Amino acid sequence: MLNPSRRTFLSLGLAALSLALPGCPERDALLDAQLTVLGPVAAAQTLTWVDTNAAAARVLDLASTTLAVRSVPVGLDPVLAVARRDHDEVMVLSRGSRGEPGVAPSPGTLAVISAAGAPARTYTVGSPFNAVSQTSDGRFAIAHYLPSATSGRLLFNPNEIAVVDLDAAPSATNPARRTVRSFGGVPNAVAFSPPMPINGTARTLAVVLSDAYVTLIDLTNPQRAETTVRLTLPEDARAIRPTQLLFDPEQSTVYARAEQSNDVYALRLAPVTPDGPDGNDFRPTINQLAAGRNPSDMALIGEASARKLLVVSPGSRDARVIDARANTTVTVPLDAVANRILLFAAPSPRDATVAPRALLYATGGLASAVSFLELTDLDARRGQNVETVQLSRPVLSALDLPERGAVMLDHASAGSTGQLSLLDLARRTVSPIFAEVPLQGATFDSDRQRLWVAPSYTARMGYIALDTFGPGEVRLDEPATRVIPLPGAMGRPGRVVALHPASAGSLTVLDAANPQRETARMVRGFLLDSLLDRSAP
Amino acid sequence: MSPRIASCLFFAAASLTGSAALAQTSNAARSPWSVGAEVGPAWHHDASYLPFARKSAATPVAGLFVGRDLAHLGPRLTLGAEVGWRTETTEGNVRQAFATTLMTNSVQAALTLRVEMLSWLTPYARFAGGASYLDASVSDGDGGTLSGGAWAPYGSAGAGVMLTSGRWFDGIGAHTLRVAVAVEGGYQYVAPTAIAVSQPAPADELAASDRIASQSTALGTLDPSAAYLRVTVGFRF
Repeated sequence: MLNPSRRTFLSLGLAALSLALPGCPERDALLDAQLTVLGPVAAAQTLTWVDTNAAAARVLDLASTTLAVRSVPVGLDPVLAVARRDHDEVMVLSRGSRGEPGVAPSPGTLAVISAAGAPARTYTVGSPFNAVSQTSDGRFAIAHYLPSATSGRLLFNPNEIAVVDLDAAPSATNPARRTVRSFGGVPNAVAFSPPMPINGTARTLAVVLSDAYVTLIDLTNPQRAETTVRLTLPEDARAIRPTQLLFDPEQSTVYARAEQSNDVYALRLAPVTPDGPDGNDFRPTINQLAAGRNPSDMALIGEASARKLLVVSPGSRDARVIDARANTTVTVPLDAVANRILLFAAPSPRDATVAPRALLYATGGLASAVSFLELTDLDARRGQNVETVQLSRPVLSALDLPERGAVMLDHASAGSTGQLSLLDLARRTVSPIFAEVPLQGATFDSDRQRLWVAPSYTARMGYIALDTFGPGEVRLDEPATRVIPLPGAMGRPGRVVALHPASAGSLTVLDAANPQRETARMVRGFLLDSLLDRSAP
Repeated sequence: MSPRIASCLFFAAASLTGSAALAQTSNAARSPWSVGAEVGPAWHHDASYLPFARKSAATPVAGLFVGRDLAHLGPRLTLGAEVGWRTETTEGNVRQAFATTLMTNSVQAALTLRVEMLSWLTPYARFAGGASYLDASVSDGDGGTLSGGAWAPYGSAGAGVMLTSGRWFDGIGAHTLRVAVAVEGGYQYVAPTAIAVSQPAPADELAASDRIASQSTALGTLDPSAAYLRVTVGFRF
């Protein structure tokens, strides 16, 4: 038998032990969730990744001496991260949650994260959108659905959109949710106009592109009804898909080019008296203009008072100059097929005057020649205004360098000649540049002083100085998969970031103006930053 | 004070109280030196430890120690000192892509206060202090490894019972040699420590000096404090 003191000792000891043993924390489900990220997205001197399962953005500050990482919560199920134009901010679109065991339902959101570290703004867009389009000045954004996407909800309206005024704080009326009128289609994309003067006031229009019709929304007066314009007759079953828009503010005209159509469409916005306070004060009139076979690019040429549309059509191997107001077309036959237009102002070998001209070229290996088109007196001279320059090989892709008066052309790889060539727009000469890398993935730095390439098969980054076209390269410690230039600001030099393949994140930061291995810095594992802190309950 | 700390201190106090009533010269007191090995689990209670653990936060600990009795404070009370080394390694997996490892090596000095309860049964309290080196590494599927370490102050308090054999080794002339087995429970405190990891430098000196300057990544603050159960086996002589 145990005496009382021993019984007390044993019972108290066992009780204490039983208290000490339990209490191990539950393992956070996030630790076992796959690390999938969106991005990176550059804003000022930060790069932002979005950890989708953690519903958090990781903002890596490349201007800080420690390359600090900041974590910013975003909505559940983030699907898209993009930079806000003209602003040092990143937008993250999240679809929210329909509710799961342990997860309360939450609406779709658009979080706007400041590179400077200001608190993020979160706009409740409501529905689980999967695409965002924004104006060129970043003032407005529209969240919408892409036609190929599924919503993961029992019911969803693919023609619903949310218009967000990004300069205004989130409120009950911002975003404004609405459904665009549909003729059976769903939005493929949303484009935005520059300020268009209508009835004496400038308007920013959102143009929703759907199969066979476009919808105009006056963002300056979002309460007004949208205007939908059919591009085909109701009985026409063709899938006319608008793919390119041009805006002519001076003539209040929108030009649309569409796949599966040999026409271009001119929408002239005519002022009308609005029907009530929420009525529109403009009405589009459509003019369908023949543009050859398979028009593939278009550009506006001429002064504002005599603006015309230049269209290239590879199917009919010609260029056409269309006057939408006079409803006239001038056809210019081309020796070389073209599917792209580059407008530039430069002298020519026969004319020292700097004048507007056009380079018509074909990408995708369709042609081994390019055409220079004199834009003056084109109606009378037509084909005489065309000069064809032969290249050694077909062009796969092209990179415009208008401020350098040149176009860099990417050819199929060949042993004895350069893979790249430089087309001088004024002299109309072609110089080969020997390169072991294709032009795809080439990136300008922020002030377009250098063009960077980073092939994945070697631990080197190459660049071409665009003032001298002199090439150079920097040796890295690991191969890079992508180059991201970051602008300089507030006395900080511009930087160039080489991303390396690594699940936890890996990059090398270089001085853009003086890229040297000696001054470079490398950081790896930043996507795991604060891993231990994050796992706290 | 957390319930676990309180319970451990309570356990120690109860241990002393319960044994103080008896007076007996123990086998342990006749053999002042001790040497042995220890094993036992540690139960980490902070979530910061979970990235280094596969399922729960209980991890195995092993160590070595050597000690000596310093003074007999009374007919039943003996004060001893001990120095030792403990190591604890745990491996985990995070985000379905990264293998994690945390190796903790601690050096410690301890004071023990033994109460001679029976000749073979000796309850005791043990207080230790020292330093722990926390060595963390994260490996990804791409073959890259990040590692980093940091020192942290260490302290523990615990109580247990020691069973000491009789003179089993008289036959070989070792009259004071005895086998001692102890079971101890307690709490170890390791100061929360910031862990930063970076790519380890290549072993080759030339390659190491040629590398681009590397910046470390802050994994966060690790709190490795834990309740522990310690089983020791050794000899007294």
